[in-house]
Amino acid sequence: MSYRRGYEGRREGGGRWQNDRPRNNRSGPYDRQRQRDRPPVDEPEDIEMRLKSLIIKIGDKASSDLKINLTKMAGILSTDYQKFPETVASTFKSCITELPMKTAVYGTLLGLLNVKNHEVTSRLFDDIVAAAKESLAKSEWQKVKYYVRYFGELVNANVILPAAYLDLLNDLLAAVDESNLIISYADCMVYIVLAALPWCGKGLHERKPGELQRLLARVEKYLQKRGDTHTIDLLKTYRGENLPYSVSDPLAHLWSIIQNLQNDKWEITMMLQPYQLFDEELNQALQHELPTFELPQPSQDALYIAPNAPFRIFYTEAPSDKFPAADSASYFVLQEIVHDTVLLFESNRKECAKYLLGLHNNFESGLFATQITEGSDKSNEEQKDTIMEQADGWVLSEIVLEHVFGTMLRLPSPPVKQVYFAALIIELCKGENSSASQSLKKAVHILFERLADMDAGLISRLYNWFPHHLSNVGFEWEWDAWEGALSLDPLHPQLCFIRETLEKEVRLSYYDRVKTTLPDEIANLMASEPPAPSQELLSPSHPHHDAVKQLLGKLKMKQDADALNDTLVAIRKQEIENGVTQEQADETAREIFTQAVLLLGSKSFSHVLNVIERCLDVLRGLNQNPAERLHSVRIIARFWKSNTQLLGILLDKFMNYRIIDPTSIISWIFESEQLEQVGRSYLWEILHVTLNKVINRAQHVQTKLDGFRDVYNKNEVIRSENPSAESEAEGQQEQVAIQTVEKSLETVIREQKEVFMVVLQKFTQTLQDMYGRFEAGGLDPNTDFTFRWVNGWYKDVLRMYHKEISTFSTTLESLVFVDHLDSRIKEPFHQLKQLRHRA
Amino acid sequence: MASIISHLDVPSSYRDQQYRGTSNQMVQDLSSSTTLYVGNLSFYTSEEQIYELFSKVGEIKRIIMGLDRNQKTPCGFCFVEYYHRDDALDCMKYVNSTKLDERIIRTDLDPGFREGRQFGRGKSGGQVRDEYRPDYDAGRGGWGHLQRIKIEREREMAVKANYEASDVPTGAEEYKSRVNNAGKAKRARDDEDDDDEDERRRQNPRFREHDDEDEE
Repeated sequence: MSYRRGYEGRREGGGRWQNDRPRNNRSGPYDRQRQRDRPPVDEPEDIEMRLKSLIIKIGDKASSDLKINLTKMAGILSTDYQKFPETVASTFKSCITELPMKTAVYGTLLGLLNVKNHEVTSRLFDDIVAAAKESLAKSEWQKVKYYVRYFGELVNANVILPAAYLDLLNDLLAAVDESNLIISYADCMVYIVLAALPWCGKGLHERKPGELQRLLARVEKYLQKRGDTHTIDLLKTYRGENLPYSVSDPLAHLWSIIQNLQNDKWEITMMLQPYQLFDEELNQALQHELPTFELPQPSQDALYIAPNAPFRIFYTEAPSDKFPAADSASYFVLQEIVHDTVLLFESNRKECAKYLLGLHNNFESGLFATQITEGSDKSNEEQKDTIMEQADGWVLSEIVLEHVFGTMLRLPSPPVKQVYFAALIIELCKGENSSASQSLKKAVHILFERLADMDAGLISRLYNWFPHHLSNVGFEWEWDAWEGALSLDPLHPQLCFIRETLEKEVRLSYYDRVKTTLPDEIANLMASEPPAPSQELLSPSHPHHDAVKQLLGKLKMKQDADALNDTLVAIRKQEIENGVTQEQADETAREIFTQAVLLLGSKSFSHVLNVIERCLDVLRGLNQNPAERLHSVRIIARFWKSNTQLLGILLDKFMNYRIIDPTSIISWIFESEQLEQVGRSYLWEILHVTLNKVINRAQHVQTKLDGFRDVYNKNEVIRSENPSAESEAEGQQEQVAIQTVEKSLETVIREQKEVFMVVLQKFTQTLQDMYGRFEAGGLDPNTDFTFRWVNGWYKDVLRMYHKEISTFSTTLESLVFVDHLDSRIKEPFHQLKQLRHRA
Repeated sequence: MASIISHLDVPSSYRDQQYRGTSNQMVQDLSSSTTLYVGNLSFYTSEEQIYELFSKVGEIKRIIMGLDRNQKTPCGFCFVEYYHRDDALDCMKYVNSTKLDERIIRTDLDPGFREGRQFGRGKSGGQVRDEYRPDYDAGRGGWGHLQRIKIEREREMAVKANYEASDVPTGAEEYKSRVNNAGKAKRARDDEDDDDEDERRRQNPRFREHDDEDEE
């Protein structure tokens, strides 16, 4: 059988699917061990694995061989399915739900198998239908979308009848006619149905035009009834007068695309239609029954999927042959597939990049501009020549990057950790000849031009990503192009973006290195010296020079709290003799002691943790009330003024040791001195670290409580079977423990509430004051960058913590978002309710 | 239904040879660990640089720098411990094989830090891989330890062959003294600790100025 030997080599690096373990590149003594792990060749499992990998790889490469390969594959399956029925079925199901770029290939494959072996197909088909039913029952809507699309391809491949398929689509649409309609659910169903039509619309139109028409009329009626929804302000990427592109309701937009497609007689030149290669054969097949699918109960609180909101970088309103038109089905299909692939392959960025950059293989050839193909093809001169002729066309890497950025900059939050996108983009740019690096540069320049109108939270996502990316490409960037921005307002988003990029480059590397990569004009934005701790304490002119020396000596000698306190008492005494108040004397003592701790620990944060732990009692003694704790925050901030990273880390650690508390940090952030730095990211990073800390504490206690309750409930069952005085005592003990944790949960939740209350109070007060001032001066607040940053961070905090905030919105409404507050401040808070259904 | 996408967040086949416990225990440790081993760091990469990169994935509990057993200076690896296991797994997906300080670093799930593991296990105090490394790596102390000894010996022989003649040509003095110093370097370092420290500072601008002389 051919696939046992040789057939494998169709795609270079054949082993990529077979190993469950990532390959490591270690050499040396460990090699031997690795070889021992490897199963010997030609075991039955090995054949099974190859069959699996063959199914997975079919259609990976655009080639005229697709026809031959599909025929061969169908032959193999027809004879070998019996040997590994489970492997074949599970691989098929995975391919349908995890490789959305190849839906058509798998549709035709099953069609061909159906011609060859109706009985085997019937079993495989039943398995697939059962999996689709399961996904539906579990409300796995993304998977349901893929299955519905796949069944559409099965109509094309003559495995099921168009009438049966239309029944399925109509069943899905049942929701739209309900009287007590749940919009998010109905939208989701309409989306699933419409998103299948680019794949199967043509066939349905040819074979059941009337029924298709009636289906579309149902959708249209629903959409008219529903009306367009407008993007709420909180979720806008850009605000201002000159928006780079217009934004419409995503579902309505999809509907207009489908209407265009209908006008084009359902013809999309881009789509691969492998079933057409086998017209005659497929016509002879017998069909399978598509059963009725049971829909789950819709719910107001469930999460439903919806079409992706438009996000554009390269696309321009003017028609271009470099990019599919935004209202074309091609644009929609590519957006869907790129977006879904990015999320499906989140666990393997390397595979993800391979699939994304290979997407031109999954569509008709001739539309995409030359992808300078990867290494493996270089020897194939003939292919190279034909490719050389196609210099015009869509630029795949631009399409890919547009949607990768679209996902990374999704509002209210990216679907996965932001750092994934950095890793993925690095991977995309890795291919030696890939055009992705070039496209990425273009994308960054375009985004940079649009920063002025971009949402503050999104700007911060960009300046967190960009330096990380540069640190992977030798810090090379076309800085000259941005020199024009240097004359802008210091708080202009473009200038802030450059400044933050530099600062974060320094954090990932070091000052001198970064400086060598910059033209002088840009380098001037950096501090004049590398970040360093304050040396104030060591100055011979320090008023308490001797006491400081003594204190530092004692700390180094690791002397105990009493010894340390002795010095502090002496300092206070001397201060009071100089005629200051007790409070001032305390401040001086706190100042000196905290600085001494920071100075001794300035080597690294592990060092400082050591020092803090040694004199925790003294530090806590110096921070007894809110004013004292706020003072400590100021001392730390002054000490690490030139190193905002260590400042952030230290505030975090001081908070961990409960020397200072979240409120003291928040109060400090909103002091006027800090608000002058409103365009700097470190302040808002510190704010987020602080809020996350409070949330994590609450979550931690909640998890602990859940664990305790679990144990108690389990033990109770055991105890009830075998009651005794001993077990009763044990039960009571456990209950006491639960009560203790319940109390501490109450405390941390109260703390969380208080902290959020303080943050929102500070934000609303600051904004209210600003509105007042602008009104008095007759100015538009939106022309002022300070205002725009504060307002931007405010919205970002609301968005990011909407789940926590919504748990006590009534309290907030009566205490923070009170009547006299400017409505422009209250508006985003009220919009939070609409974020409830978003991930 | 098993996914066909191979996941990057699984431990490699490396096993700590000095792990104390059964292999079952190790599997269990690995399956619940929140700690990562990070390798192929430059000797000069600072704790803060590591913190900046790894905190992009989640909140870090602590970082333990790998140290040369003899010198007590960083020798190119560390352990990063998170509060949550998911964050350690995400590092395998998002950080492993990307660059830090312009070197491709390697992360691996680790059964958990134990006292003593922060020290290099190579003969010369650093990591074993730096004993045998045949290439020159400026970020990891130049030549591999064995390679360096070999090169030094060769150079010494060459110098001897050329200059052992009774009258030393002018200008050769320089070479001769270097060879002599190379031999003495080990002893000299103990006497002139401060010079050595200065040298390190000069080579590595990531060190903050006015380091305290106090060694932890």
